[in-house]
Amino acid sequence: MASAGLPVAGIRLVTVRRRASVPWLMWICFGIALLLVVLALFGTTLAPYNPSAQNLSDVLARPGGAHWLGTDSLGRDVLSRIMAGARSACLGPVVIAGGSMLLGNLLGLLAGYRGGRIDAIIMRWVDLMWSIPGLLVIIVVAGAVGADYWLAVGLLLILTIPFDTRTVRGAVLEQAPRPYVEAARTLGVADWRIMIFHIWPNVLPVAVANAFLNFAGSVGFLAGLSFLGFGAPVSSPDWGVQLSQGLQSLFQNPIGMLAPGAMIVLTATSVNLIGDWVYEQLSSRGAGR
Amino acid sequence: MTSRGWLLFISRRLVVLAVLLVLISFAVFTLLYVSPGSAINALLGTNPRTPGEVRFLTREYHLNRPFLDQFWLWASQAVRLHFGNSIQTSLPVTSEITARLPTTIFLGLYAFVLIMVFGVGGGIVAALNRRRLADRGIVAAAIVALSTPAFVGGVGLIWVFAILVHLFPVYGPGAGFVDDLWHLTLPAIALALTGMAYLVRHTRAAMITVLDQDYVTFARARGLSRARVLLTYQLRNALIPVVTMSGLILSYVITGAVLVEDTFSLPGIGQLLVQSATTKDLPMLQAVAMLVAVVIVLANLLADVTYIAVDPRIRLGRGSGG
Amino acid sequence: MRFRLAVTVAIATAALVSAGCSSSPSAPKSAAVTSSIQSFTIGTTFPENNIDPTKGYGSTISSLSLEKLTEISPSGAIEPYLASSVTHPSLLTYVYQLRHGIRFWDGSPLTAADAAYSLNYERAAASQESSLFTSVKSITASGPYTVTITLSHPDPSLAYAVASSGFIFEKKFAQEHAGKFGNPGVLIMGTGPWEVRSLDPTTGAQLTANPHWWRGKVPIQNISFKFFANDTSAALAFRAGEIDMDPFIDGPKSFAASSGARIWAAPTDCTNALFSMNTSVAPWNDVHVRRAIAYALNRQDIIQAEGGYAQPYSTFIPVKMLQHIATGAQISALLKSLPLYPYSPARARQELAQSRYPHGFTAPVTVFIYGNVVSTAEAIAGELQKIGINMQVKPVTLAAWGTDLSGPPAKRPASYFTTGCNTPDASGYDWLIGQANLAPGQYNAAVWDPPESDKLISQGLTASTSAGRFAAYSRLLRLIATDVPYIPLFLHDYSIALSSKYRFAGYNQFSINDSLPYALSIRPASP
Repeated sequence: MASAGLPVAGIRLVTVRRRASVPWLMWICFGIALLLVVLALFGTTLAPYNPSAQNLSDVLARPGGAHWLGTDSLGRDVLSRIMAGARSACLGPVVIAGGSMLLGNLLGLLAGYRGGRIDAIIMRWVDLMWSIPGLLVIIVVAGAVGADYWLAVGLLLILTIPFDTRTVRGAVLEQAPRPYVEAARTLGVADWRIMIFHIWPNVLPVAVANAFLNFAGSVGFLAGLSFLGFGAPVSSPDWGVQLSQGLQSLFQNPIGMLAPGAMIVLTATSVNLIGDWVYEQLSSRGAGR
Repeated sequence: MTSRGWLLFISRRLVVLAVLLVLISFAVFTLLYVSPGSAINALLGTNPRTPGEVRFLTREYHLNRPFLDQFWLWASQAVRLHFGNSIQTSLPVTSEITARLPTTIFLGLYAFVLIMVFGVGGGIVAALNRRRLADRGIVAAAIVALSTPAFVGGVGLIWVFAILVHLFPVYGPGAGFVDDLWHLTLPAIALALTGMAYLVRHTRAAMITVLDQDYVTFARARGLSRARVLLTYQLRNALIPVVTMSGLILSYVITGAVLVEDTFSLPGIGQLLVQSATTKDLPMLQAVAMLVAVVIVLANLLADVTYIAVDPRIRLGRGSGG
Repeated sequence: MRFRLAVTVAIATAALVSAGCSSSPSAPKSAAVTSSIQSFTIGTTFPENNIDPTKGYGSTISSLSLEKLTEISPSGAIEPYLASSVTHPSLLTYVYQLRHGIRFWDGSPLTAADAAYSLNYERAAASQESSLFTSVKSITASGPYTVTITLSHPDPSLAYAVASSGFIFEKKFAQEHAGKFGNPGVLIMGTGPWEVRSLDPTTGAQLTANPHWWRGKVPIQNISFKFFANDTSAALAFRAGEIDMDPFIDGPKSFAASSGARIWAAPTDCTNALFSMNTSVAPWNDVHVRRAIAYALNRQDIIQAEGGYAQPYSTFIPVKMLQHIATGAQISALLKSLPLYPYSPARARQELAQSRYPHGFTAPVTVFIYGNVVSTAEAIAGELQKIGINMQVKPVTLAAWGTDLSGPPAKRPASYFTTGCNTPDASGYDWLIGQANLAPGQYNAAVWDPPESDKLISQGLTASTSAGRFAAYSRLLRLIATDVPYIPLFLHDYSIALSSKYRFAGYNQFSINDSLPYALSIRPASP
């Protein structure tokens, strides 16, 4: 959109203000994200076949008329299972990203703003968790106790919080010396009000970007656990489980293996891109402060 | 840092390591103790067994002793580096681990090298060609690589090289150094994807920041060549965050190996870990857990030492106006 | 882990049992082949860590390098092997006469002392095979070339145990390396056609032909083993031509598709799949429920879900096992008289209507996580869904499964599971029934223990004639078929993959583990 220029000595200067338009790539990512939400909620109902319906006379069929992506080793329709699998692919990561944002931000605010003993304790804990190999811990626990999807989600949540804490603490440390914080304190605003209503909005871009990153990472992590047999149960249409089963039928119906893999990459990529874009939007708007 | 400073720093870390090992071994032991099932049933499966057999195995592995007794029996031997025999294979745990460690380490180091070379290299190329095609291409590739977990990458590579193009072998570890390289290329690539992506983004961001700094403009204005500026100033400063991440990356590739080892049929530590957890093979699991803890702490220590050595602000001490 | 195809020897013919006759000392079968194969590579996913025969239970390496006093022929008969003759002078005694002139790889002669030591080692409490030898009172070298086994009670399965699991190795070597026997650095000392040169649990093993083998020329000069973590990798190796044979396949159908190899499959009387229900606990304690489930399961469909290469069976003791103690006609007559519950959803619903749950019910069924077990359990759940029973599949680790199913009887869960092979004798499934197996650590999973069953189990094992045994087992089968504590589903074939460059002469269910060293039967495909 061009604004009328000021005529200067007969020459028209035209200033062009760049509009913050959404690039076409983002529209695709939003579309994918919307599709995933719909599938996570209604996947089983929208699927052409019942995802658990077995058909033992049409096992490992290649993609064709009746089954667009073919069938798996029990004759179940792969497309339906992909659609139904969106739920376990997205539900856990939402809990992890959301939970980690809430708790991680809280701890980060406390550590960064209060400082002193609280900061020392929280950062000690963060350092400890930072060095723990999350994947291995979850494998050992799930291997011994028995695989369970929500157990894996819970453990992963605990392991993700330290990352958010550290990032937010860094951002809070940057904000704390700023004049507006000093001003609020002078005015006698309570500490917790300062943290939540004054500092946190400025820290939000980083926190939200992290949340998207965590979501994308969790999708892959949980699918990996299911792939190894330590996450979702073997009968569920989880994408990681499907990938593991599909690998055994590599030469019979490779789509049964490629489709869940593609969905995992697609989901994580879209969310990562959305996260990047959201960060850019939030930080450029907040840059004025 | 003075040599006394170094000594204090490292010995403090080693003390932390010792405490960590005790805590981890107790945690692992408690976990197996409380979890359902018995190691003997994992060993014998559905085979019929005589009461004498069960009694023998129970005595052999101290499975009926009180909780703390069992832990003490293990710990008192472990401090002498006697980790006992695996319940599943009845072979000494240490020999099982030493047989498999080289594969995992080779794989981890190979992936680490790939991450460093392509991660840093890609980040630098992208930063230098900002907003041009190379940059966009690299950034796009990095986002996809970031979103491709190691096991998905592994399975994809198997599909490509087992069905489409017969170039790299898709299973087994190979024999001899060159054969190993050949066999471990695909697993290393699968493992390295995420790390490469992180490093490309970080390096690119750090380089871009450096590229805009005043001192670079001044150096160029004084007539220093582009290459000289790149090497002397830009790389050094851009690489500091890379060094801090390298410890994390090193421990990631060693622990992430478990995702690709089974897929590519590599006899490594990851396999041992998975097996011993599901079969309640306590001696094996304890030893592997100890090993992983040591590797991670040492990797982090190495990264921290390198960071301190490389960053002149720390090396010269505070207050020296870096 | 694969369950040992450890087949114990059953009394092959009625004559052998009652007359205590000795088999004629036959000349060794001609083992020399005209063309010798220079090298042969075997790939396997079976974990080969330790070739001590009591620890590497089911090892395909031991089967090539260690030999036994007797072996099992394709028909299931026991033939002398290292022994020149076997006699059975009384119900409680077996006497084995060793051949003269057999030497171990280090040149020492094979004597009765070695044989007795080996067998005693295999029946000790530390051995994973000891359950096959529980009836043995003593094993002694009663002469330089004579071994006598004395039982504490009659046991037809003992002769099979000697033929399938009685590996003979050198006493001196085992004693010198006590504690490390069979480990990769120490290995073993046997008489077999191939000597084990090296073993590395992560990569493979090397075996070379024994130049002084007692039966003559060994047809394959070098055998290499390669170890794989999973079937898919082994199949890919097959496809690349890197291995010639895989004697241990989990899923033959997908292996065949992935590898392009030819699958040789032999029907067995073991490696079976069963559905067990705890008859002392609701809802399984209602016999109409159990019968309804028996009618509702379509064995052919379930075999399809499993991937094929299996045979359906409906009697708790498979027909093949009964063939050792009865004639075909007798068995047919028995089958006609038993209720066998052929697939019929209509009759399933009828039975269910007569039960306490006419509209169906929901119940958990425990399965262990191994191979296809969980997905086949899903297929079974699908079948039961059609008559209104909502079966929830509960996958658990093998360790947990074992503890649950051998725990307090009231808590043993209903389960779908597969078992291995112990013996071709009709007593082979005794471990699933009877009072003694209600004890902790034992597997009467169905908690099925009607008063008559213990007497019948004992009679079946110890009756002095085949007819007596068959009568007892017939009565037992009728009890089981009426009460339905277990639903027998199918018997896995024993499948191996062999490159089309070779063929396996006379392949049968005993070939790999219970007969002569299996590689002796491998011939080039085209002469």
